[in-house]
Parts: sequence; structure tokens; C-alpha cells
Amino acid sequence: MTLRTHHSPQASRLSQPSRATRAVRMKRRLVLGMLAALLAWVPVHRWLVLRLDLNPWKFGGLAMYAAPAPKIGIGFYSTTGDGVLAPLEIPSRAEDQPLFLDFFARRRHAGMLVRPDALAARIFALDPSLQDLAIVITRRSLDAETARVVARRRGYRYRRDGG
Amino acid sequence: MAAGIRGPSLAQRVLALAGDDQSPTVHAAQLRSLQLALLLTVSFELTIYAAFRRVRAVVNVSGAFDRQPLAVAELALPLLLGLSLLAVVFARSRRARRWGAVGAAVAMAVVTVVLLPNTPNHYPMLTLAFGMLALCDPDDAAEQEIALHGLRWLFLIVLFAAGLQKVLYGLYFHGEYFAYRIATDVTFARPFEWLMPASEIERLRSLGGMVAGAGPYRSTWWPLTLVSNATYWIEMALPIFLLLRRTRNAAIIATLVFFLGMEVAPREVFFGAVAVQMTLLFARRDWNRVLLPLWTVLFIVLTLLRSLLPGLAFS
Repeated sequence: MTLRTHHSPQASRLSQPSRATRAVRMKRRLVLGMLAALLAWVPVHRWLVLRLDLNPWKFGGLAMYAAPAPKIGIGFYSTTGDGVLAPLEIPSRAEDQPLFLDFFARRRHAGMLVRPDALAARIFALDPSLQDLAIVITRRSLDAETARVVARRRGYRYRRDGG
Repeated sequence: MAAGIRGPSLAQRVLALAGDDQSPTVHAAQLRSLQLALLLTVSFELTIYAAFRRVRAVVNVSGAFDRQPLAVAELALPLLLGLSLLAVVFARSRRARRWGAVGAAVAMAVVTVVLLPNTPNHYPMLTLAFGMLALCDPDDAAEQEIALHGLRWLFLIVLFAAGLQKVLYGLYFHGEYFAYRIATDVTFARPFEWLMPASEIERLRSLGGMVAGAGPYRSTWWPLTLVSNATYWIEMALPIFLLLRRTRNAAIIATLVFFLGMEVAPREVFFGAVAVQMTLLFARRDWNRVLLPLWTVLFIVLTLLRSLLPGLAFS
């Protein structure tokens, strides 16, 4: 004799979680997801600071006070007639200061995510005789191994014709 | 056949580690008080930031360093303030509280993104906090538990991660970070000038600042090295003691003392306030509700001080 199992619609509904229960479960998973994402971001942030020169104090990596905020410097160079790179004097104009200071601030925090393309365009506009330009960003930070300040330089080359 | 009774899932058990035996009514009150406290803190912080940034920009050009899309920040600020006020005035209305929480989370996310890359580091944490408060129904006991446990875990992760990052960056084992800051930051050095030998401070200041090759920034005064190493140990150990119910009360006091000590030198009032408010969420009593009037008075005084003394440095 075969036993038949009778499934009533009511029994089927009882075996399934209610909408409220499913909502609670989903929200619990979402909250856990947020926490897991935060925890996972910590080593990723460390890697990005090393790779992209980010400011450890920014971008929610929880590394404020782990290292001093880096300082940056900007140098402008152009190729002389002898083919040598020489420092370029940029005329200081009040109307250009927000552009330069804005770049300075953003580069200090966002590192290599911020390129000096707008600066280069402005400098070419200021000096029609300039054919090529090199912008060198120096980032100074405290090195853990030597406990000394180290400088890392990133250079960007531009040509008036866009090459 | 009767439906099987399922035990708590792994997710439930993990979150519940940060729980306690208080009633849902107590938890609901604690969450509402925390929400108000956080809204109050970030509203005042944004007000001071937006209002007095213009003064700095006029006083010296370095104000342009903090130049942000002002229009959007100014829109988010009144929105946050308005939501805070709504939450206070219409605290009995479930719908108003829910929409207020959603609005606060959205506004905080907008402010966090708009201020990039200069966003204060506690804003992403606040975005997550407001997000959890918005996600969970304030009148559903099960969802209240999720919000409470999630917020406690959020704070534990933040505290632990701060200590872990100090280990990863490697500038605390010989007091390097403290040595550098004492050498180059007069405000940071002030509390240490009372304790450290003047000769050690002079030696550090003679190392050359943030010039390439300057250093080595290592402490030769052993108490500073001890404090430096204790810092990350404490940050990584406190979350464990906050999690364990047996040690929770003592850990709450230790955490409060730790943050008060940490924030004295850099004068980070608003981050310190958020840290205290999140720590008090672990307590059995609704301390955030008790302290709301004190926070209000403190922030009003700070706003007045900043307007009267533009050179007064705090954040």
C-alpha cells in the first residue's frame, strides 16, 4: 500500500516564510553586507594609498593617524633649445590661483586619480610660444622602514599639439 | 506535516554577538536617541564648515584649498538640519521618523560624495549608520535588533580597523608618528610639552620637518614609545571587550576615556562626539538621550566661539 501525502494550500503557505520574515532576512543580509564591505575596504584602501598616492586620511580607509598626511610640491619644466629640461617660470595671476590651488588640494588627497591636464592647458594658453611642458608632482611622506621623509616623483609630459 | 522550525541563521548569530538582554522598547529608544545625537552633531559640523569657510577664504588664499561645490553642500546642509528638526518635533509619527531617516541617509551620502576628495573620514561611517537606521522599521522589533546590532558592529569594525591600519603603516612601533607630529604641529605638541623633556622636543623639532631626507623620526623617550604602541593595542582590543557582555561596562568606560584622550591634542570635537555617541550605544541606559541637551549647548558654544575667534582651531 502506498501512502499518499496530502498537501493542502494552507500547509504549503505555512512551510514558506512570510513576506515579513523574508524582508527581515533581506535587511539582515544587507546590514551584514555593509559591514563586510567596510571591513574589506580597509586593506584595499591601504593598497590604493601605496599604488595611487592617496592621502591615508581620506576615502574612509580609517587610516587617519596611521601616518602623517603627505605633502606635495609641483614643478613646471620645459625643453630648452638644447633639448634639456629647464624649470619654467609660471606667471602668478590672481585669476589663475583657484585653478592651481584646487589642483593642489585635490592631488594631495586623491593622488594619481587627479591629473594636471587642466593646469597644462592653462599654461599653454598663457604662453603661446611654449611647445612642450613637463609637470612634476613630488609627494613627501614618512617612510616606515627608515622613519625618514621620502619623496616620490611623478612626471607628466604635454605637447601643444596634443602629442 | 508541520513546518520545521529553523534555528537562527549564521547571519543572525553573528549580528547577535553585539546584542544584550534589554527589551525591544529600550532598544528602540536607544536607536532614536542615537539618531538624533548623530544628526545634531553632523548638522552643527556642516554649519560651522559651510559658514566659516567663507571667512577663511577672505582671510587668506588657503581657503581655496577647501573649495567645494558650495551650492550642493549648502543644499544638503539645510536638508539635514530640517530632517533633524522633523525627527525631534514629530518623534511620535512613525511615517515622519521613517522618511526622516531615509532623507538623512540620502543627504549624508550626497554630502560624503560632494565633498570628495576632502570628505572627513567619519562621514562614510555616518552614511552607513544613517543607512542602517533608514533600512530598519523603527516599529518592528526584529528590524530594530538588526539596526542596533549592525550599528554596534559598525563601531567595533571602525575601532578595530583604525588600530589595524596603524600596524599596517608601521609608524607606531618606535613612536614615529607621534615624534613627527610633535616635531611639526604646534597644536598637537601642546599636551606633550607638559610631559616630555624639553630636550627631546627640541631634538625632534631640529630634524627638519617634512623635507625629503629629514629624520629619523623615532622617539628616544620611552614613555612616548609605550603610549605609541599602546594606542593600536587598545584600538584592537577594545572591540573584543565591548563585544563580551561580562566586560562590556568596563570597556565602555575605557573607550570613552581613550577617545577623550585621543581627541585632546588634535581638537577633533565632532569626530570625538560621534565616537562617544556610538560607544554609549553599548550601554544599558539611554545615555545619548541624557546627553542630548549637553551636546546642543556644547555645539552652540563652539559655533559662537568660532564666530568670535576665527583663529580658534578645532574640527
